[in-house]
Formats: sequence, C-alpha cells, structure tokens
Amino acid sequence: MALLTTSASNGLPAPAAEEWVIEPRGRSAWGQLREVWTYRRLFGYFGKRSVERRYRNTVLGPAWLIIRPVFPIAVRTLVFGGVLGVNSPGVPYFLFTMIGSSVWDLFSGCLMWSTRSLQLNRGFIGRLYFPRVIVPAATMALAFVNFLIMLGIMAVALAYYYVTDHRLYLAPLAHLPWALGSVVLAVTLALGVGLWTSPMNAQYRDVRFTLSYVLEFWALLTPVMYPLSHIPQKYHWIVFLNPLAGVVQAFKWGVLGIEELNVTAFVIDIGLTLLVLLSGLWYFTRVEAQAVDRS
Amino acid sequence: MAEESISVSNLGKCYRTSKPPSPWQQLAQKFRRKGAATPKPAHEIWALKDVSFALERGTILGVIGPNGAGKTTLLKILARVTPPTEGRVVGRGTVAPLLELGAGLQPDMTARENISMYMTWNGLSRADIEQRTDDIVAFAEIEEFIDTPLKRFSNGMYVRLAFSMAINMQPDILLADEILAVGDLTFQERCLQRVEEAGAAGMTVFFVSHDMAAIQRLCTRVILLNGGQLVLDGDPETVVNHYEQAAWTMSAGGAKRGKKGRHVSEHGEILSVRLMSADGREIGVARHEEELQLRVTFSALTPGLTVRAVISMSARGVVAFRTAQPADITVAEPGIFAIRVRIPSHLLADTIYTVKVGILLVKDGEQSTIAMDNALVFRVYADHDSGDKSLLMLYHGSSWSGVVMPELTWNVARERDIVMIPETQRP
Repeated sequence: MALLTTSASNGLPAPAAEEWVIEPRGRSAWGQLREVWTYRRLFGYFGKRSVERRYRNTVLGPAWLIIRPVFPIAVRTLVFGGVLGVNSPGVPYFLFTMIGSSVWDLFSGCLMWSTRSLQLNRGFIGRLYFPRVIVPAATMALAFVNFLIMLGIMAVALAYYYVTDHRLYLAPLAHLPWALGSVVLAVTLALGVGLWTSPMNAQYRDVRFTLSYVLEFWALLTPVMYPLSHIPQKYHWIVFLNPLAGVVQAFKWGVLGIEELNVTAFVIDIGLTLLVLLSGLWYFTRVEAQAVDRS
Repeated sequence: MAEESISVSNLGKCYRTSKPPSPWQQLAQKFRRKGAATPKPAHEIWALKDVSFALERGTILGVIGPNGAGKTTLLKILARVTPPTEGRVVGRGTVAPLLELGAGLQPDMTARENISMYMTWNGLSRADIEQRTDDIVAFAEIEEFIDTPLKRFSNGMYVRLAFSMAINMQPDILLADEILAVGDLTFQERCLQRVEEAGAAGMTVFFVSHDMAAIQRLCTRVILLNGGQLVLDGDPETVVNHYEQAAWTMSAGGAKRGKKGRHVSEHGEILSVRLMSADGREIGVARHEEELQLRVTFSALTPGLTVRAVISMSARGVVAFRTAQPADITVAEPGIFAIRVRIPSHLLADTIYTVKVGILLVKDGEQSTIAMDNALVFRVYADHDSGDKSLLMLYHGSSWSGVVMPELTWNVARERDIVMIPETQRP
C-alpha cells in the first residue's frame, strides 16, 4: 500500500493512486523488503514494545535488565573461574566469561526472541497489515538491549581492573572492526535462522522448546566458558565447523585482544550467514501468511 | 466512465477445520505403501468462493448477508490481514481497514501516541501526522483527553477515536465492518454522514452492516453474500429486499423437523406453523396494514386428550406478546387439527418476529407439553409511503421503534385559549 499523497489535504484522495495486487502467494521477498522501508518506523515500535512488555508488572522493573545477565555470569565466574579453575588467557576470568557470554547471549537471545516473535504478536498480525518480516527482526531488540547492558558492565569491570591491577585489558583500536563485524554477524545469523523458525513456531510450539535445548548444547560447543586453547590444536577445525566459534573468537580478539583470530572461519561464517539470511527471507515470505492463519 | 477503484476476481478463501497433519504424519505418509489406507483429508470450509465484482471510485458498497456468509473474510483479505486461497484483487490507492474497532490501539499509550502510531502503521510521514491529529481529535471529541492513556477512556471515546483515525487517514478505500454496532446514536449518525461525504468525495467504502436502514440510506450498491458466495449484486433496494425475503424462507421451513425434539411426544406433535394472509394464502412477509392469520397444525394421537395451545411472538430480543387459546378442547378421536389465530391489522410493528408455539396436553390428569421455539420467523413492513412521510424524520433511529405498533384512538382538542400579550406591554 502506497504512501498517502500529501496533497490530499482538500479531502479528496489523490486521483492517480498507486495500483496494488493481492494474490494467494502473497508478495515476493523483494516486494516485501521494499515495503519494509515504508513501514520502517515499526521497527522502533515493535522493539520498544517487546522490551516494555517483558518487564511490565514487575516490582524491580528495568532493574531486571541488569540482574538477568549479571546473575549467570557471576555464577559462572564462581564455578569455572573459582572452583574448577579454568584458566583464562591473560585476563581475569570474570572478563573472559563476560566477553564470550555477551556475544553468545546476543546470538541466542536474538534467535530465541525472533523465533517467538510471530506467536507473541499474533494479535497484531491478525488484525493489521504490515510487512511481517519486521516482527522477527524488531523483536530482537530485547536481546540487543541485553547486550548493551553487558557491554556497560564490562566497561565498569575494565575500569575496576585498571584501578586495582593498573592494567587496561583492552585490545588496540585496530581490532575494533573485528568486534563490530562479529556483532553484525551474530545478529544477522540469528535473524536468518529466526526467519526459518518463527513461522514454524507460530504453527508448532515444539520449535521453541526444542530450540532452547539446542541452544544450551550449542553454547557448550562454542568456546564461551573456556578458551580455545583448552582444545588440542588438531581438533580446532572441528570446533570451527560451528559458525559461532568464529564469531565468538573474533569478538574476544576484537575487544580484549585475547586468543587468536581465525580469519578463514570468519570469512566462511560471512558466506554461511548470507546463505541462511537469503534462504530465510525466501522461506519466510512464502509461508508467513499461512503460518499465522493456522496458529 | 468513472475510474475503477478496486476489482475482485474469483476470490476464494479456504479454511481447514481440522489441524493440518503434523510433520510426523506427513513423514509417515511418505513411507506408507501405495494402496494402504491414507488418512482422511482435512475438512475444508470455503469461507469465500468465486466472488467477483468491480467498483468505481466513490462507490459505497453495502455488504450484507447472514452470519458466516463471508463478509468479514472478504474485508480481511482486502485489508491483507489474511491471504486469499485463490483469485486476485487489483486496487488503487491506500486502504484503511476498520475491521474491529480499536484493533491495534494500545491501552497503555495516550491518544496522541496512538494516533501517531496508527498513522505510522499506514506509512504516513511525521509532518502529515501532526497535521491530521487535530482533525482526528476534533471529530472524536476527545480534545481534553488527548494526553490520557486509552485505558482510562470510556468505550464510547475509544470507538470514536478508532473511527476518526480511519476516516481521517483519507484513504482511497475504507473497509468498515459493523462500525454501527457500537457507539451512541448521535455518533452513529455522524459516522454515517461522514461516510456519505467521503463517498461523494471519491472514497470507495466497503460497508458491512446488519442495519438494513443504514445500508439503504448510505450505499450506492449492495452485494449479498451467503455461504461464501456472491448471491446478488445490485442496487440497494433490490438486494436488501431479496435478502429480507430470503431470510425467512430459510427459517420458515422450521416446521420440517425430525421426529425427535420438544415438539413431539407420545400424545401428539406440532406439525406446522405458517403465516397466512386474511384470504388464506401462505405468505412470508406481512404488511402492518393487513390482517393476518397464524395457522398451526398438530396431531393428537391419544383419545380423551385435553389440548390447549399458547403462542408467543418475540421481536428485538423481547417477547412482544403472548396469546393463549381461551378454552381447552377435548379430543375424542385421534386426528390432525388446525388452529387459526387472527392477528388484527395495525398491531405488529415494522420488525422481524419470531413465533413460538406451545401446546399443553392433559391425559388422565397428567400434564405434558410440546413446544416449537423458532417455529416461524417473518418480517412486517409498515408502509410509510402511504402514510405521512414527514413522520419518518422522527422515526429514524431505533429509539422510536417498539415491538408492537397498535392503532389506538387519538383525540386532539383545544383545552383552553392562551391570551397573547404583546411584548411592548410586558412588565
């Protein structure tokens, strides 16, 4: 549906209005994407809504935004860094687990929320028209807010260690593009997978439950809580079969300058992400309408 | 030749009543040997089938039909909320859906935020939004509440806001589903006027309503849907009349029921309930000015049965009146009996009546009843044209309509004179 012509202030709709067609197959992926631009302000709306709804009717309210990520990190630091004594290469274990978890949680959070997004916003989708693809993308805002808060906590921790250890555990500025690249990759890959899973989840809720187990297992396969050096060198290629390994390693290297950067894995990840994203867009635009009808 | 606004061709929408096979069932089906019994295909319901029409710009199209006819499905497809299963729609310009009043409004946000949100949904720019907010608020009459969260709004304010937002979008096509079902009479009137003006200004309007008076007043064309199919497409008068006729031929067959139910017992059965004109023809529609007969036939199967019948007529959701057979009759031999009840002219109002028939049967001091609840449905027309047309102005709107419209004896006479004192002489 086209933009309203602004000259219509005399009460008359503009005579030469744009023509549109409704057909069973719905719009093509490309048509939908062009429409996304018209409806771009909905990103802000759905993003805000998803964050607000999450903490409505809670006593602590936005405080949960900080408590939720910090609590598991504190537990991990205690168990892995303290009790089990997993060594962290060159930085305090708290920083080490924080850096890995932040980008991992960004990925898993984005994937989880985009998977649930169609189901959560069913009321809207059943009543109003807009390009549906905005929903899984915008709902990821919740995971992104979480990520920013973790970065904030990390900044505080860095300042703390600077004062106590007199060391700034920060990578040189030249590493920054790798950090940014890995964030973009984590979000895009999550969106690509989410475009597959969200219409499925609208129809069969099993998807969401299965996914939560998959993610738990996936986290263990990814060098988040342990450094890659814990794994013998000859098996590293197996680790890097997991696309998230390359992303997490690049983020660690980009922010703290720890461990090594695997450029090959990162480039393969870019290709894989594009593949997943494009196929996800194709699949999503093909089935979204039916999925919502049947949910 | 006016410009075409929207054209719908062979539109169909199919819903499955049972769930689609789960992925496991689909997988299992693939491995099943050919010839083995396959599970029954899911039951399909065509909410809309083979609907085609084209509208010119500025058409106010009335969409009528019984519940479940596919009216809302049609509008939902046009609003792109649900995709069609087959067919094609080609339209021009913007579409503003008003499918469920208040759908998409956020109770936690203020009126101003909601307006801005709604306009954003519809792809308007920020400058446009500010310009139109005043119009919306003025029409909805919520100036003082613009910064109040909607959850503190009364129902009426909510509904006014929703309508005002949709119409002030100045869409090329407005989809209005039962907008008159809520809101007070003055607001309904303003809605109708506004839709009328919009139509005149070139807006194409889909107007779904059960209010035939509003349809006839507002619409330039009407389509009748039934069971998902387009039954009739034409001028309002023809289509509305056809629909109202059809409504009771559908339900007048009420007497053709099974051998079970409350209307049957061992002693007897209510066989038929019919509406007849004074000269004995069966009719489906009656006029206020004519005398009518209700004809009830029943069988009495037990000798020595005492029978007494009661009839009640309901309209507008209440019992209009009840009438009972003045005295019992005793059945000596089994047989079929006919009751005729004369309904005088100038009694029934211009509305739809539902007739309920009950018969009290007494055998050896033991009472039982047989009854038929929706035995007959019919419509009565009051012929305003032959009467004083100027009264119509007063009658418009339901507050002047009752369930009976009896002819009473009126007497208007001068009671006493008033002495008019010229203004200059007043103290």
